[in-house]
Amino acid sequence: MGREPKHLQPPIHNRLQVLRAERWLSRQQLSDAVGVNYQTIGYLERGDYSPSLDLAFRLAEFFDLPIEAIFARTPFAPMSRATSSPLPEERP
Amino acid sequence: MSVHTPATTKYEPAEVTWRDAVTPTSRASRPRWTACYALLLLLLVASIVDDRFAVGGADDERMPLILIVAVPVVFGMLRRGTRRLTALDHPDLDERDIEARDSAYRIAFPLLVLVMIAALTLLALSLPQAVPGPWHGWFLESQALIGIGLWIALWAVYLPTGALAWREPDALESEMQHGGLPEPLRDALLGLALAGAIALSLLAESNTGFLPFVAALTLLGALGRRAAGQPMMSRQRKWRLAIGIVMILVLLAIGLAAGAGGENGDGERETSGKRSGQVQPGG
Repeated sequence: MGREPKHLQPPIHNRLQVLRAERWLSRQQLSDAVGVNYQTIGYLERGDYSPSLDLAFRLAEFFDLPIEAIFARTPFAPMSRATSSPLPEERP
Repeated sequence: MSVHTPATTKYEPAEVTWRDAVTPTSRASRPRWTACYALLLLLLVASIVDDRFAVGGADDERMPLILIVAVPVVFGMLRRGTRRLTALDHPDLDERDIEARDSAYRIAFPLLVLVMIAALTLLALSLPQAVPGPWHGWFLESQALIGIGLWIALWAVYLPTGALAWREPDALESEMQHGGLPEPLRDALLGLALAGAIALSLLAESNTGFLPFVAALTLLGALGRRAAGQPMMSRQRKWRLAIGIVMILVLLAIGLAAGAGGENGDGERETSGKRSGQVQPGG
């Protein structure tokens, strides 16, 4: 059995835009730091491109976070939801 | 690692030129020009093998000038729209760029095989009779041979860029703001100018038809510069333009003078026998 075509593979979600914004970084600054074109950072943020393992590690090292805090198979919950207390109907 | 520096870096071209103004940066626009370029190449080969698509007199059929002008212009637009990623010696490709480029070449190869089959079929149809050479063997003497050879080369150069232009996602928003006109409107204007120029060239059988296309490019460049807050034409460019116009006028004048002289000379040769008996003025 061959490898699944890339366009059929499930997308990889990421938090790059949020992480970049909270550090006041431009795409150019982040791209310079991890050694890619700044357009590639834009494609990653928009979900047009899934990074290689090497690039994912470089980004994780740059942000000093584990890879799973930046990239995930499922969409990330909004920050407001992650930090605030659960809604009344969600409480047990 | 936390870095707290304000985000100030932004993509800003030093000077907006007509090339910037016509660069297709969106995924909607690039396929239009990819298809347009393929159409131009088909017209190009039609003008090589069929006199109805050529301009000039019956004994002097030539490729329309608009095609010679438009082919490099549209190819340049596609190259800029794809950030010249298909250049094999590009120094700044990252992993995504390399993947996109390799994928484009993989798509281009089978398409080039189809072009080769079409070109070989055309060759078989347009081959002239072989003539005996001055020393040994038989030779084919035909401009169509050279033309179709060049046509294959144009396809080979274009196909990877075309495949990439067709598939690449939109550029970042910051790179899509210096066109002057909105992209669909710009594409419509330029496309109409190009179609009009080709139709005019073929119907009038003259090369003056390429002027609407050049005028549209100039207009879009000027609008792009104005949208970027720059003067519509820099002083240096004005001087270059003025020198260019003067040179064209001088060349035209020389050409006209030479043509008039040649006609007079021919006329003199033709009528020299008749004139020999004429009395010279003041004689």
